[in-house]
Amino acid sequence: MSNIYGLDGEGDKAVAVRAVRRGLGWDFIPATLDEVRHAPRARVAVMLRQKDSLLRPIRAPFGDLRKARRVLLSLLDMQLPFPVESCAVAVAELRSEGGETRGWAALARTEEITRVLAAWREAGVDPETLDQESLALWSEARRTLPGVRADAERLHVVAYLGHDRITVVLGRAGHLVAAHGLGMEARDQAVRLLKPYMGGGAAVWIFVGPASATSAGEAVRLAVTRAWPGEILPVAEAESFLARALARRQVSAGSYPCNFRSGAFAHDRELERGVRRSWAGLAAVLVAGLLLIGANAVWRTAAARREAAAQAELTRVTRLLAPLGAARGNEVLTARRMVEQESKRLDPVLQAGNPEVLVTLRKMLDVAAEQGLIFDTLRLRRDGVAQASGVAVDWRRAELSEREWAGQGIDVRMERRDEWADGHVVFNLSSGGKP
Amino acid sequence: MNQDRLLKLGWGAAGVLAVAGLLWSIGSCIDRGEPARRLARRADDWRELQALQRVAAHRDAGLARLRQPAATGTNSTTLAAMIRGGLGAVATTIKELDPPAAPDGWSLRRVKVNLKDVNGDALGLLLAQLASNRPPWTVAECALKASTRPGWMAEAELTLEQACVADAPTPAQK
Repeated sequence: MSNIYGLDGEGDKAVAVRAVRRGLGWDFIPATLDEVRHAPRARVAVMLRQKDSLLRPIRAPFGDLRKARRVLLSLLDMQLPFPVESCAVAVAELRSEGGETRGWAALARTEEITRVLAAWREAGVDPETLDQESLALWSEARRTLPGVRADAERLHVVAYLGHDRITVVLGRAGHLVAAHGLGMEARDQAVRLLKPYMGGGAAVWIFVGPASATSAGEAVRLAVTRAWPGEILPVAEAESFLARALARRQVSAGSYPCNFRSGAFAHDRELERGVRRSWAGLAAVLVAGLLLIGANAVWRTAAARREAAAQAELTRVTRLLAPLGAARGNEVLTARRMVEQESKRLDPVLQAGNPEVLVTLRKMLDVAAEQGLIFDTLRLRRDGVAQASGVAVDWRRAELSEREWAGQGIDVRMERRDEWADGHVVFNLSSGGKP
Repeated sequence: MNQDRLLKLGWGAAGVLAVAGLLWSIGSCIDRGEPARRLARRADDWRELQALQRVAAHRDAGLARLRQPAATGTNSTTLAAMIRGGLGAVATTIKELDPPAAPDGWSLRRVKVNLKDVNGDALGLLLAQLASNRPPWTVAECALKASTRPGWMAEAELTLEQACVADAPTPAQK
């Protein structure tokens, strides 16, 4: 169950509403001040009345919003009858439009904020949000009455009729145009107050507030609608419209946000949340740093292990060839030198056991017999030297023999020396193949 | 220590850790290929060593054949006896030559054999028999001169070599 409340008014006359989760959205049910006082860790929103605060339009001849924020206080200072430093400032809207900066700022004197908060604490409530009345009314109208944003032609006037005050908020196409607040005793001034805005034709009236059904409220309503007849938009539960607005603005951010409880006026819980956010951020950065370091350490360790395993295998194989081992990086060089040295040392033995000359002799004699070659002399040496002379049936057979020997890896060159009358060819054979 | 001071210290430590982790990661990213390259170099070296091992194994197999013990009795047969047995009463001259220097543990023999009027087939069989002897006699050089009789040779001059383990008893030359 949520403990989110909106309170309209001051002290025991306040209209209270509680936000209740309903499916994916929120519902707002009436509550009492007593309930609010006793709700544990209640999140309460109250407001500064229009007549106790200021709404000032922001106009700057450039579209750079960051620059506009930097010069905002100077822009506002020029519009105020007192120093802007004596106020709390909340920027409710700041937008770039046609190369210009436009928006709204809500301001409240610090002593007024202190007074209102003290009054609420005296009533047993410590509100987390101190909103601005006109902004809350206009954002609620925008959100709950579709025509407010859709109708770009007519001026919409939200007239809040309270027991102690009248607040009128004017806007067109969803954009705030102006807001004024009067004490109920000065209700006769309402028509005069609205006159400058009513030149543009018909208006749409939205009457809300706890006094909208009282005779005083009815008098105001009749006065303004007689002066400027127009459509009156019906509002359900009009008396709790502002309290609902305040509660709703806590559960879902809407247009024209405002909370004077920031900086020096920040609620303890907001400060706690700030500290918690700071700790959470710190923890996130710490964890990210540790994760980065951990991931790098794991990656590097794994790579080093794989490399060490490969090196161990290399060392093992190297020791099979070079028993004294080898310096890291010189394994192949050392092993090759050892193998070559050993092969050279044992070469006489290996040569003595090499049957190659006999194999070659056999191959040469076999091919010669097959092709009809007769050797007169034949000399073969282990180092590959071959010399022979003889007679072939014809030169073609001699060439065929040469090719066959080449196919068997015996590289010899046939030289035709003489040809007998019967076609026999005398040849010489020497090692080395064709020149 | 108040909370603000603790937070400041914490942020300092976290910042240092995060920056260190980030810098390390950037470093790792820059030389991410290096471990793989080092592994590839070792794999190349390993393959070369395998090739050298095959060379050594081939050499050792050759030596092992020379070390094989003689089959029944053949080792005790002298070269002269083998020639007589293979060729019969052929005019034979056997001359012991200076052997090449033998490595430690091995002894080498080199002989020159001159044969007159020898049958080619019988000579072939004799050479095969010599090669299959334990330890084998192999031909280092041969010079053949044909005879007028088909299939015969007027003269055959063979240089034969034999390698055996140094402490193995070598048969008498003649």
